Amino acid sequence: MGKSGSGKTTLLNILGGLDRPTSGSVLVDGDSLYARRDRELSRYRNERVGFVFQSFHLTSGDTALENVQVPFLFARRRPRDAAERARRALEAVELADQVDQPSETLSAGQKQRVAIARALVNEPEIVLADEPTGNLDEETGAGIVALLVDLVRTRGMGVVIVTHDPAIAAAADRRITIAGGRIVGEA
Amino acid sequence: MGPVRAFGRAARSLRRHGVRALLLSGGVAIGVALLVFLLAFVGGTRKALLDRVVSSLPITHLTVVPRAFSLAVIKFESPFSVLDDRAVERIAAVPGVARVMPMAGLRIPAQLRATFFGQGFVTDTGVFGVEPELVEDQLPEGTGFGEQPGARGYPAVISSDLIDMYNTGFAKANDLPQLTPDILRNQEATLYLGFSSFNPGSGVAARAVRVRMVGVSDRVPLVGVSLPLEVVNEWNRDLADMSRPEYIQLTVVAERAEEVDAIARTIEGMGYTVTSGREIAQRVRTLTDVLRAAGALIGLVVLAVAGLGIANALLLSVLERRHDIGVFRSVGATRSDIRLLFLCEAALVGLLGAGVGVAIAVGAARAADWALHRVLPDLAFLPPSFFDLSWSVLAGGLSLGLFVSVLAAVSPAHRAARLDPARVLKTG
Repeated sequence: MGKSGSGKTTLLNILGGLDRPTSGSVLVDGDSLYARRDRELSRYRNERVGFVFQSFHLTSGDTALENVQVPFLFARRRPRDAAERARRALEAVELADQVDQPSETLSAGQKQRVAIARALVNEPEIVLADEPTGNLDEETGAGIVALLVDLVRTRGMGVVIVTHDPAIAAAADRRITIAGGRIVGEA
Repeated sequence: MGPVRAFGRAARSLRRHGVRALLLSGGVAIGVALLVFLLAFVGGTRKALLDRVVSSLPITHLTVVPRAFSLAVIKFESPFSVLDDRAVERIAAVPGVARVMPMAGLRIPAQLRATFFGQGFVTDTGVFGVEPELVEDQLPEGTGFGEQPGARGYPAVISSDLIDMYNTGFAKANDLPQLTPDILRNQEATLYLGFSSFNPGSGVAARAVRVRMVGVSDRVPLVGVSLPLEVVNEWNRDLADMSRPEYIQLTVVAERAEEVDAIARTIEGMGYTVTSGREIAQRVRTLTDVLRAAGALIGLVVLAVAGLGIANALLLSVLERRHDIGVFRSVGATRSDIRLLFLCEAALVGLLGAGVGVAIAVGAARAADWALHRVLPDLAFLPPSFFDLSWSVLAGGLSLGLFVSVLAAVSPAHRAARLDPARVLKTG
């Protein structure tokens, strides 16, 4: 948790191997994440983390199903059942009837569900969600967070959610507050 | 990401931006079409010209004529540059010379009278004597050009260019049938030696001899009939009081093509003017090389403009799709993957454009061939096609279109790969 500009998104990006820290290090399995080469860092993002963004960031012109399959495009080996796995991920976010819908035609809540399905389809160890309800109304946002938490729990994954909404933070097992790029509280 | 997946994704992206892709491909298509068309035309023309040169003067052959000086329209032959049997012997002794074939001109006027297609035909004519070996390979087998005259007269050959001139000029103007070598063969005519329409009072007693056409050749003089050398030498001796034969031209055959230049220099040093098939072929090559370079330059300029268009469009595309690039990076795309995606898009644009360009060039070449053969007179030396649409030209056009497109994409692809994913996703 933290106010705007406190460094929440930067922290999330650094954890996800997306943004290089100016100082300090990130250790994954005892190794420095940012000592890795671009290819290894990309593999880390592909196989071990899943991102959910505030602005959904679905790829333009693709259907819901194609969006969910995007991580397989860059996988070391594309699974034979890639389409089937993407379909199952969309079923899990209750969008089984929207698989062939172009992403532009989906509602904001549906877009975020597609983004969650995309984050989960590769079965990562951890999901990094950056203000996942920031562009949604309160009711839809609450439903999305509940869905996300439920999905990662049933799959045994971890989730880091960045938010400034105490109601969303309440769903977490552990809450860290940052300000000015530093941890100022933990509960 | 492997190339198959990259091409698949690139193809989808291009389908999505169909109009832009078509416009970019169109630029490449025009450049490749122009390049292939011009190169094929220059290549085809070069081949036709070289075939013509090699046919009339093979690369191992040289022609030697007396050195002459021109003063306005008057030509003076050097008195020290006579082609007689002594000269033939000296030239035959030049190292590398395999054979010397003299050509003589009858030194008295002559008139040819014949009947073609039921019509009488009279013309003054030059009469030349050539070594049978010079033309025999261009005549049908068993024509007996070098043999003694039979009952049907002396064997004679005329120039294939003369037939072309007759067919395209005289025959058309007078609505006469076209002549072909087959029609001409075995046609008989009478040659009146020492008689001319311009000089009916010639002092030499006229002699009438029968001649029989045995074929056509592009190695004999244009205006006149050519008979075996021995016959013309004999007539010159008997009717023109020439005790020693003199020749108008020698055809020198070198043992090897590489020796032609050295032989030419030696013979020129003896005071004669030399033309070699090798030299003419070289001139044709130089001329067509210049034309080829000009054609290539035009095509390359258009391709370069098309390449700039592709580079600009891809740069714009990088800007438009920066969020997609950020998403790709966030789900595991390496910088190389992003680069590969853009290069594959450009490659597809290039392949499509170059493929269409090659097809346009082939179509245009066929159409131009058809039009040229309709417009141009039916000359014997016209090639079946004015275009060299060989696989190397077509594959070259295809490769160049592809290469230019991919080259144009290098900088945009590099820029896309260097985008900071965290920053572009933040701005979304």
